[in-house]
Amino acid sequence: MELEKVNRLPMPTWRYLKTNDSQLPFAMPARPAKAVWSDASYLTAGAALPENFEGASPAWKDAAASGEAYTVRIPADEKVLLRADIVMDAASPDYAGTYVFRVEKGAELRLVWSWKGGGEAGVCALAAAYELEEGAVLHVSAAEEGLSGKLLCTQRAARAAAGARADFVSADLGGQTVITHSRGWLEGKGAVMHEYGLYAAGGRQVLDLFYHIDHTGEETESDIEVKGALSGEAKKVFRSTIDFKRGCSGAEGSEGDYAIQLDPRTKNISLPLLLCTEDNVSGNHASSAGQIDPGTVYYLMSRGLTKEEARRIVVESLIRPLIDRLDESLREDVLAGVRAKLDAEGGEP
Amino acid sequence: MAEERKKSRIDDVARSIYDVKDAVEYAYKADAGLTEDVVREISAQKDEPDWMLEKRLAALALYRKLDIAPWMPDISELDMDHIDTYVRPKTDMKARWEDLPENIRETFDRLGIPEAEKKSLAGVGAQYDSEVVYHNVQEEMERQGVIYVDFETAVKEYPELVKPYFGRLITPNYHKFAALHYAVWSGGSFVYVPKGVDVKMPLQSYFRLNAPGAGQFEHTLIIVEEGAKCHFIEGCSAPRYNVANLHAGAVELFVKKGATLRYSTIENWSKNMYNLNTKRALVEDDGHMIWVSGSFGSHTSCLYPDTVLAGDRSSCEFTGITFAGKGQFLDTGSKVECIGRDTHLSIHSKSISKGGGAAIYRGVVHIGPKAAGAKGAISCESLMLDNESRSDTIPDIIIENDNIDLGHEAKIGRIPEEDIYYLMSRGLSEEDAKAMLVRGFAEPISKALPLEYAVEMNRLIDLEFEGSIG
Amino acid sequence: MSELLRIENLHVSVGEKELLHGLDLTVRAGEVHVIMGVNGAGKSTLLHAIMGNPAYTVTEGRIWFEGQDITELSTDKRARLGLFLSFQAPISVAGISMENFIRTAKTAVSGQQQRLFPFKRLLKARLQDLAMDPSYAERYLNDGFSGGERKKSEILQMRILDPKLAMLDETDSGLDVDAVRIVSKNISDFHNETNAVILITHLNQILKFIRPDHVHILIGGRIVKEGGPELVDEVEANGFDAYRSLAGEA
Repeated sequence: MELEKVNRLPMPTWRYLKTNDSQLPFAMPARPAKAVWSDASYLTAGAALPENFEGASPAWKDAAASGEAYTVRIPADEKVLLRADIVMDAASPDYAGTYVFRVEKGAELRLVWSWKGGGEAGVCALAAAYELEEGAVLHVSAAEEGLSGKLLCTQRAARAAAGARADFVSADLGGQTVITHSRGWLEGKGAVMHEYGLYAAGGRQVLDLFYHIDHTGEETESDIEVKGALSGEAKKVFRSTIDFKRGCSGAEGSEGDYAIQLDPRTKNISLPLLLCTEDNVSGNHASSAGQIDPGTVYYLMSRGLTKEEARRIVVESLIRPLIDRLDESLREDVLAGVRAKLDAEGGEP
Repeated sequence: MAEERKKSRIDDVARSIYDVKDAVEYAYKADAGLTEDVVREISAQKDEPDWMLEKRLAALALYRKLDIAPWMPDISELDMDHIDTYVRPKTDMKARWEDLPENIRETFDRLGIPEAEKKSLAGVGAQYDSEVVYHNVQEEMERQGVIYVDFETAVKEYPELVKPYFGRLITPNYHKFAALHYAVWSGGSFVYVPKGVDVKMPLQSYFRLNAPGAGQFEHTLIIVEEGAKCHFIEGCSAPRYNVANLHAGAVELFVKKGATLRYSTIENWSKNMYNLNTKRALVEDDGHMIWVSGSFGSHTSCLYPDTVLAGDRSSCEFTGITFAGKGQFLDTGSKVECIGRDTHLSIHSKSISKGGGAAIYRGVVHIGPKAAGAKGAISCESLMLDNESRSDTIPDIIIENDNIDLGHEAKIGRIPEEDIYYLMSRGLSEEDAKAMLVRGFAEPISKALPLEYAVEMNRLIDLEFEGSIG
Repeated sequence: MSELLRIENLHVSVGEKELLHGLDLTVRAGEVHVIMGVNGAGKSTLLHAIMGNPAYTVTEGRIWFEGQDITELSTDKRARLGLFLSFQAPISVAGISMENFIRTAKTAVSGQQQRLFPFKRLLKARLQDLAMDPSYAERYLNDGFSGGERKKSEILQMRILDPKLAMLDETDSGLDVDAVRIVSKNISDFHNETNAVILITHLNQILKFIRPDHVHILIGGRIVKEGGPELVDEVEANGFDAYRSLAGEA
């Protein structure tokens, strides 16, 4: 498979560390499935991504453009729930799609992406731009199931006007290689963007997660929070940037990366950047990495739980708050998926 | 061959004692720019052994080959063809301050070095431009076998100690300016602390760059043998000229089994200095490396003390503060590489940006696949004093095994309004309240410095404040 | 007795929201005033407005101190005139020692350089008065202090800065019985014919030790009732409910 550099850090650092970007497999989606929408009346064919939509890399952006393309318009003050089901089965194991979502003034969109498929190899390339007008509210949940053999690349960008709010919650359980590229521009006063990511990665899974939010509007708020467990030989890369631009007075941003490592062979890379040219801001980063605290495991075992159960409880307690942020229709499946994953990986914590 | 240059027109009030320039007199000055002839000439001037000249020439070739890292701050004003790589002051090295020419002696007097030596130092080295002009170490230290000499003397008199270590930790291909350093290095210090010896009082080196448009490329090599202890202090300053000066020193530190080395730096280069310095320490089993670093001066800095925790149970602490004022771009931070088992690291970095200055924290912690049991904490706090300035935090954390425990915290913001109000409610003016809060912010670093340096640091902060808010 | 503080028709807002709706208050030297009221009544707002907290905006009315209009004065200048506020939630700053801070403040407030050794002696004596260990002098400003220690640290500063008007915001909350006694004793020792005290409390624990001359009941951003010490007992017996209707009508 050919390799492609993705998710380049906006402010690069030492080259010899080889963490400025990631060199990961790339393939064009050859036999793409079609997305099935719960209500297609909001969709019109064709999608023009904004010019500054970068995506994980130019090739991945092109890959997404090779498939179906729609513009989704939510008229002012309407409240809409939409669900897209994408089944990448043996007949059409791939997906390619480009979308532009326009949530007009005061409108609300609750969007669910559900990805399903078998264990066969396949490529998914998605590019989605979300335009939020004044006071618009967007909540996007994404979860997948059974995509163990896939190469997944999700690219998105959100632009929020005054008083708009965008929440993204993603659960990454499957996928051989998972590439996430998320960009945000908080332009209007009081605009808010949250990125919540949870994962349970095992085997030889690779997660390459990129988030980059610019604060330009006053009193804007961002929160990037990624939590998960790594087992087997799984590798996770977290590249996150919060950029406080001059003039974003009163902005608050925080980013957190919390990983539990369950196997000596796991790799965990974290680059949480805070960039700042405005003084009246509050930027925070916190992260932790390492094994499950043996004291906690001991405490739980003293109450009669097995080591595996104790381990599962600790991992679950870490990611549960993020699962609860997913759309309700996805929560149970995701929780079951996390449990199955942890049981499958087994072994000593 | 004496030369008078006009004083710079841009006078920086805050730096009065550093800015007194001596008339520029020197005994020998290498042609500006960097050619093989210049390198051969420096080597000849120093009457070096062949192995050293060979190293220099190899490094020069490498310097030409290597590119400038793309992430580095803009150094385009730094024209290597106009940097004097070697300026020998008009004196030989002395062991008594009285024996130095008056102008050089006065410079160090103003900086308070001889007085500090009397009070609280076990040994002092003072470098003026490219050469060490003063060196002295307490007899008691010498009796215990401690060696503290200028680097040229070390190369000639202790080749068996210097040769195996020189250039081993910071190799010429570490980066472009490391290669430059090895091509034209001059001056610096060599310290050897024998097994089990505890050097109770600090050793100090002071680097003063007086010649305009010159570079300082001193090499510092410290070997602390098994179970030994040492505290080394480095101070740097230069008067301000309108032409760019360059500092590209190299500091190699070897901390052997169970040894402890504390390396303190207070850097107040003038604001025309490009400070592209390299520091690296190798720590063996149970060794402990402590860095204390205050970066106040220079136009542009790239400085990331690097610790290799090679030994089992080896540990390091880094405590640093960077204060970037008007016109300064200070890209500083720390690097730690964990290789041995059960290593421990602690990084505590603070920065202050004001008046359009940029303070960048850049760091990396790399815990390798075999470094099981690594524990550590990283904290970065950045204070923005206005919205003309810039403050970035660029950490990189690479973990390649699961038996680790690492926490990282970073904060960016301004002084909380409530804090200023509280102090003002007790009668402090707004400026005094801010200065006090910034001193408090810097306190963990000043506490780690020897007293004179802590006082000095607080004075630098106060001076910065008089200029900005008053 | 001479007038220290006079407030007329004070309206105070935070952001868009008005918290005090026209309030009058006069405090003379030698007096102890108590302001009582439920949470959120505006008690702390009043004290912060008097101290000049920039987060609070005086939209209408004036504040005079010893005849000088201080409505527009910055906080530090008010402190230098002799105003003091004991914060309900004092900040903590790691890196600034208590001794260094209080000495700097004393220099600012008194206008006289505080010589090191006499100041150390003064600080030690005052610490002792508050049953605080001398080692507090070396500790960082309120850093790692318990709730009770913070309250004591505020009283310590009051005693050393020796203001003309001390405003104490819930100085008794979070203190155990012994600490209340010690703090009360310090307030009594501080108080004399030339200075005044304004106490905020919604319990009357501290009032067992200090008898007020004037009691004001503040509800919904207005003073709804004023009187002598007997009001304390009235509130003790009946609670604040009886005054809520007064607030509605005012």
